[in-house]
Amino acid sequence: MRFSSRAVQVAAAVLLQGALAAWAVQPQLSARLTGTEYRLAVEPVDPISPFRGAYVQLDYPGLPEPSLSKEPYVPLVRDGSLWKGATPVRDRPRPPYLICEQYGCGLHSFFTSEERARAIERDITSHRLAAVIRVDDRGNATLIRLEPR
Amino acid sequence: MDTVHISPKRLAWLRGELAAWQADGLIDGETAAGIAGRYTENRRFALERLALVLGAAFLGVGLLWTIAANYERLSPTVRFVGIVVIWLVAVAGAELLASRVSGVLPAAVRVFAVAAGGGVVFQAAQSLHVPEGGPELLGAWAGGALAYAYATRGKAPLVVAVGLGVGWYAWWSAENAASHGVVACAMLVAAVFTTALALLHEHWTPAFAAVWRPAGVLLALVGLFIAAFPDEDFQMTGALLSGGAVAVVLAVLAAWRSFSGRGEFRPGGGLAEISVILMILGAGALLAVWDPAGTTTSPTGAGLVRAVGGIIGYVLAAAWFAVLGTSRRLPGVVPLAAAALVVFVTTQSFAIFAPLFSGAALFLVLGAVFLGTGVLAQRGRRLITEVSR
Repeated sequence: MRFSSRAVQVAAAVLLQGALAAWAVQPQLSARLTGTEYRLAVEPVDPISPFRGAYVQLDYPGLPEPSLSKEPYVPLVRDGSLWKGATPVRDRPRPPYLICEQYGCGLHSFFTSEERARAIERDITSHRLAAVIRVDDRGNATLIRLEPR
Repeated sequence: MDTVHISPKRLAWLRGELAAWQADGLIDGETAAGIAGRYTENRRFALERLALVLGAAFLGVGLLWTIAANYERLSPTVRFVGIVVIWLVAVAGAELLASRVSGVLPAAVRVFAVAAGGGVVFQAAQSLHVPEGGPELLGAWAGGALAYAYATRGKAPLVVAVGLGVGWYAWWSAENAASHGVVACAMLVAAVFTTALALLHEHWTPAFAAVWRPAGVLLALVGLFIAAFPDEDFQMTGALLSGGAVAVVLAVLAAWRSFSGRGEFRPGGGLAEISVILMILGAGALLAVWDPAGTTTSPTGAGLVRAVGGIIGYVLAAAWFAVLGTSRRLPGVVPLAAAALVVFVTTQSFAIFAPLFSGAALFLVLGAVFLGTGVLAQRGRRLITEVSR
């Protein structure tokens, strides 16, 4: 069976599109597939994304504020039943650690329906929720779920 | 003999050309009538094309909206698999259609496939809770759409892909630049790049040149618009310099290709186009780095010279694009230049004259400025059309 050159080019373009989509979500995909779970304290904000719908904008009191710091690595240390960030460092520490840059540590958006987003906000405001994240050995992190503390 | 149905726009152009040939003595009245008689206006074709392309665009928007609705009844994995299947079916369906029929229908399905490709990116990001804030997702969508447009040689997907690419580039440069002057220069560098691409495409795939050229015009006019505002914090960056170098090399290549193809310099030719876009880049860069003392409310002499230079440069650039579009009948270029001129003149006139005049006097002055701009643009267009005939 022979394929036309046009069909091969379109297939290559489809593969490239798939690769670009995977590249765009690579840190979160890597953490989800290979990472370990940790629980962090969270606080809410409330926006909507034009392409991805309602989400809860989260803040983490135990992690440093987003900045263009030259010390992007934040070691994770135990804090009772939860985990929190220690002082950021310039060189890659031993795992577990997060990479935190201009937009935070890649954990501040939790996409869900508008109705559930409002319920989550109420729970977070009364400090009843913790964020379960997954972190791989290279500091890539992804948000898995929100659950009772 | 059967008559050929063509769009009203194309028929109007043909009639205009026939009248000009007749006036020049190239053909007689009988021949002109004979040629015109072979073509009739077909509104149904334009309507069908409009309906199909609009339909595909609406379906695409609806698909993205469905993803944004974030339905809880379907798990993120099911939603992701669903959108991937829709995307692949659209790609395969478009190719199947293209192998059997030509025209607008495969193009419409390809536009939908581009939207579905974006849906895959956004659904993946939603499922993995990728944070909001950066242009990476738009960049991934634009890059995939470009690859798809070139693989299919489809003009309609390229229009969407270039639009997405320009949007991503504007977002990316605004985010990484320290000041608006750097953003202006980034837009002008991209304008040189896309203009050179348009000229290179004229030799290989002329239909794609008609997409890249308006993108270059848009970037140039947006860049010059931003550069007109003084920038106290301008700092040259390595990325800007290297981007500029790549764009200039590509421009020289396009100019050489254009010159070797024609062997002469023509007022509306490729060499002139490249020369002007490089001049626009130079003028914009000069405005971006030039920050004379004084404020907008109490400017110094140098500040006034800069402001007037910015206005003249912008009006000349817009006029150039307008006459280029008119003389070479480039689709999309003339409306872009006209809209840019109106927006710029309105903004600048208000900035300059609003503190000096009020009420009726302000409108009289603005009216005079608009009339003057219109007369100059019209005379310039006529002059270039005469020269290029």
